[in-house]
Amino acid sequence: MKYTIKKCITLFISLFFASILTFTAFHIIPGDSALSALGMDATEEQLEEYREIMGLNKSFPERYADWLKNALKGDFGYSSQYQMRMRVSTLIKERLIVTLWLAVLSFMLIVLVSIPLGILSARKKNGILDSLISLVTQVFMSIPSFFLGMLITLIFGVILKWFTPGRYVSPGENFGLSLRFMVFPAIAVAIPKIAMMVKFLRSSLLGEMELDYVRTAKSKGMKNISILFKHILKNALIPVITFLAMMLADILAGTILVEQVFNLPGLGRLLVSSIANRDYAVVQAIILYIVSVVIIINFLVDLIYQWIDPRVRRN
Amino acid sequence: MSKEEAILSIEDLTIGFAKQRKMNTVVDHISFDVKKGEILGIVGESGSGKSMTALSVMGLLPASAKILSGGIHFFGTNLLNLEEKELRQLRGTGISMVFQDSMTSFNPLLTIGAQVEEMLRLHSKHTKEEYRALTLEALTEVGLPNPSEIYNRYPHELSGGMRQRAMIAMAMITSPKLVIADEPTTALDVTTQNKILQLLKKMNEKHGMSIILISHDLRVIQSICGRAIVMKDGRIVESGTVTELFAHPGTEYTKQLMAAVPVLFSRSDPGQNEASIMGLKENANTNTEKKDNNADQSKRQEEILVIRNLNVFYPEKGIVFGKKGRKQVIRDVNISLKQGETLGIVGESGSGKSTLAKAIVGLNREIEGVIKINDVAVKDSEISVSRPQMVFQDPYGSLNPTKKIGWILEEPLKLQTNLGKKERMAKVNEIIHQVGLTSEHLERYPFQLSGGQRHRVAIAAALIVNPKLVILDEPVSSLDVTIQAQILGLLKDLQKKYNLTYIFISHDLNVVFQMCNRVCVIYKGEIVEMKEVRELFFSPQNEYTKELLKSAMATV
Amino acid sequence: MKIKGKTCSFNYILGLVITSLVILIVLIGFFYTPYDPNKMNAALKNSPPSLSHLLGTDNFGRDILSRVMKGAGTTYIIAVAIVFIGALFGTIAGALTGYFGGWFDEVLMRFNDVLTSFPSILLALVFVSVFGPGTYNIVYALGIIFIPSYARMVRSEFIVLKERDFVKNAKLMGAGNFRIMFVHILPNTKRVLIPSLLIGFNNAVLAEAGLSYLGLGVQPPQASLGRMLSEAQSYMLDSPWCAIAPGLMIILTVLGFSLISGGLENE
Repeated sequence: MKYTIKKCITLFISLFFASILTFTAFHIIPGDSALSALGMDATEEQLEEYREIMGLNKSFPERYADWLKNALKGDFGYSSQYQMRMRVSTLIKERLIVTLWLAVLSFMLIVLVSIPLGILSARKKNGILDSLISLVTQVFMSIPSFFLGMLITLIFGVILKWFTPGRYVSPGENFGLSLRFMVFPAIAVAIPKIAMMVKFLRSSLLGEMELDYVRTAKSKGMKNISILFKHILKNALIPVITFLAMMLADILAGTILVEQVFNLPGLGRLLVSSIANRDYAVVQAIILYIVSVVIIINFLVDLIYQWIDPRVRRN
Repeated sequence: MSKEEAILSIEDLTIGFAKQRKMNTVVDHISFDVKKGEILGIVGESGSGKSMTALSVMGLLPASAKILSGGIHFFGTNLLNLEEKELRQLRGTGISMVFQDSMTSFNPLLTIGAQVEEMLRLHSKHTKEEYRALTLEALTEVGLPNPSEIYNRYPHELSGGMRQRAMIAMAMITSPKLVIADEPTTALDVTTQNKILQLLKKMNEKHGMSIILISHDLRVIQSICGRAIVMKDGRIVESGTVTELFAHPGTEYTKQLMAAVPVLFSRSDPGQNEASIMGLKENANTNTEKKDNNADQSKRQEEILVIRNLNVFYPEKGIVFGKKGRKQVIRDVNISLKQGETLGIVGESGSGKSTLAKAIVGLNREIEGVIKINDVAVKDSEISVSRPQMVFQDPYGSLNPTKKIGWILEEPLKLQTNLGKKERMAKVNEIIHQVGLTSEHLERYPFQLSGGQRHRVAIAAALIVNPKLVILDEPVSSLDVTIQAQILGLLKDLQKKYNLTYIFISHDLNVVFQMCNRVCVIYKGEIVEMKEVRELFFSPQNEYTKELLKSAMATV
Repeated sequence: MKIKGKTCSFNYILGLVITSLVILIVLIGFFYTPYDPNKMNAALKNSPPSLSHLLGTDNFGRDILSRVMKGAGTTYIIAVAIVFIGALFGTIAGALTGYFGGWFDEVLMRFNDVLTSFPSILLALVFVSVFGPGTYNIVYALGIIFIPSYARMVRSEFIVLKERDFVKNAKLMGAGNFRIMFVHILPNTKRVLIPSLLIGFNNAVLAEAGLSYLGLGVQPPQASLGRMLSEAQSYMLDSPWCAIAPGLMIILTVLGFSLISGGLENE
């Protein structure tokens, strides 16, 4: 219980830190944001009015408090890059589904492919299959996901025509088609991560296999396969959970690039175009969003730890 | 005894290790029998091949080890010819094993109950309730209090002794014919050690299973084994009943091993000890001589170390920031030490003896009270030439692994003297010869030296700045007996030569007896008894001292 | 054992071969390229690999081989600069916090925990969106972003090492804190520091490629591997060779270094 409370406190402190950092980062941007929003032709009155509306005249803590208060309500103000004044929250909501869909699909691919491969590789340690897996993982780890995306587009989109490059179908509209189109970007995100996971899981399993408790289990007359599933796997998965959490953060980052390659209308593309257009309200909101998700994932991982590892439960 | 009685017979067994394409023989053509219901001891230093022998019986040799010749016959079946499946069936029901380190030998994520019960599940068919009941019964039998609670505990929640009991319960729950206990008490405190050994003895008498007890410690073997085998470098050098072995050790090696076993002295019947402790007696005599010398000298000599009302604390970290408080580790300690004297500090692990040492050399500054070395308080003497030096337990840790021996020895001179490069090198060359090494060793890294050589370097590094007081923290406990003797000899020679004062910290009472003039016994951070060494060993007053002496020594 | 030793050294040697090949190409590129990498030639737009242009030309008719040689050089310089900044400041910060501990360490590490749990490219995007895109900015951005991971690694090594007896011994000899930190302890971290420098270089190459691909890093007409991929994207259909050559160069670089660092770790 004490552990959970401690972790909750850490969660809120981290979120608070993250919000301050995000806000401060965009506060120190050089130049007059009123001027850059309204353009050089704006009169002094217009600028003053804009500053008044946006609260630019207030002190730093006041502005932070205002911003945080609104952010907690889900209100991040208005975007400046579109002709019609779009609410940032509306913009993000539309795009978020695309990114989440991509991230979830990639994550599932990673888990489903890498865990069996990692176990296989560790069981056949130093065999031909293991060496092959190890070399292939090394190669795949070296491919940047966006380049992989380009190759996939070329091979499966352009040559084989298994999907239409640049087209996005939302899962609500036609789930089957959406899945078929989304699987390719998901593969591009997943493959380098699968390679990392296999390597990590393999070494984690091999490390556990050397430990004394495995010898004890053998001395009891247990089958190797039962030892693997009843004793080793759970122990080996503990460090893997942390790794998966880090990976989830990496997937979110990977989607930024892959969305660009596959022309998917997700958060990543919105982020990049907003950076290019200096649409800070949107950038700020997206960053805060992703950062919060990462922090919350880390919090959940800590809770999972407590649930699976009795040693953590006690301390 | 007749052949039929033997349940396990090992014939001409040879085990090799593949090392860089060469086969290193670790077990060399050994043969022995284990008879029904007996406790057989296998004793030897690390590397003697005793654990490999045990693992080969279980079929658990590491992948790089190979059985090169011989047979292992268990009730007439050669285990080496069995299929993996048959061997698995035998493990647990026929032969089971108790391992040294109960912390790592249990799966940290499963409860004790589940792991003990698993043994039963693998080899018998019962209902869920019966499994549980049988497991609880087994836990009760090995003397675990409140077994139904222990059942649901995780390994890290139990003490070392309790875990080892649970391990014994696990090994014996299926009533195997043979239990192999590989250093089952080595990781435990002396008091707990005896209890576990008695438990093994009790289980053996009650269930009639044979036990192979493997240990580096003759005392352990002596306390419960009927017969014993002495192994060295993969060979059996001697075997026989324990009484025979102790009364008439046939080889030099066994005698050496025996010298490492202290014997309980008692003034009332000194004659009984006479026969079995030749080696020790000699040492005791030299000790007395030296003590007399010191008594003469001490009139002339200064008090080198004065400790008055010393309290040492250990800072405890708070949950989030800052200090929550401090834990008192050493309570009201008073010591005074004259030049040339050797003071032994003994106590169990956690008694605070190392903390005391760190306070004396100034590594621990959370202290109250007075520590004066040559009349200078430790707190003031940030850097002084007369500062005490320390030789740590494990020289592999106390020598910087990335530096050559020459650099390591030169460093204190660079820091504490104004000598030039040439003079420094001259001193380094001098000291390396003093500790019995050559200039050639200066170009090596610590990992390129043997354990004994590293100890010599560590001693050289401590002595190169001519300290008057040297603190030796378990200086030989990681060494085999033969090398122990050499290092202790070196320390004595150097003491004589440089008139050094030693504080000798050890849990090994025999070594303390050989080395020290006076001994103080520390228990829970307090000195419970401090006396001349013979007086303490022959007529201990304090209850704890008595218990410590009793449990650490073999009764003849 | 034998097999493991063999595959191990095989991977390591393969890594060495690939890396030396790639580095050789880059080194030559600093002094000589077959064509001027930025010279446009409308007549040769998107021509496939041929004898005169071994890797073909891009949509402006520029020679791709020359651009890969020059571009990889740019990418390498950027990556080395990033790792230098990150490792230098990270090592100093990690050594100080790990050795001295205390509240300063606590605060810095909490901050560090937050930072390292984020993908570096996201942080780089924040930096670039605040200070604007450009070569120097991504060097600073990624360099600073790399600091925490080195700091964390060096710190954890220091925390373990400072408890070792050889450090206590050095204190007893009267060595000062800075001598202990940098003469006694630091060399002991090389076992983890050197592989992590190689991995850091890889991450820097990938990060540069990603940012330049998004148009936020190296600006045209300068060539870098990421920049070239970004430009090749639109012509993937007609002239895939524009993308394949720089892509392959990235893969070989990263593969070579990770094989070497894997080999070093196994030793």
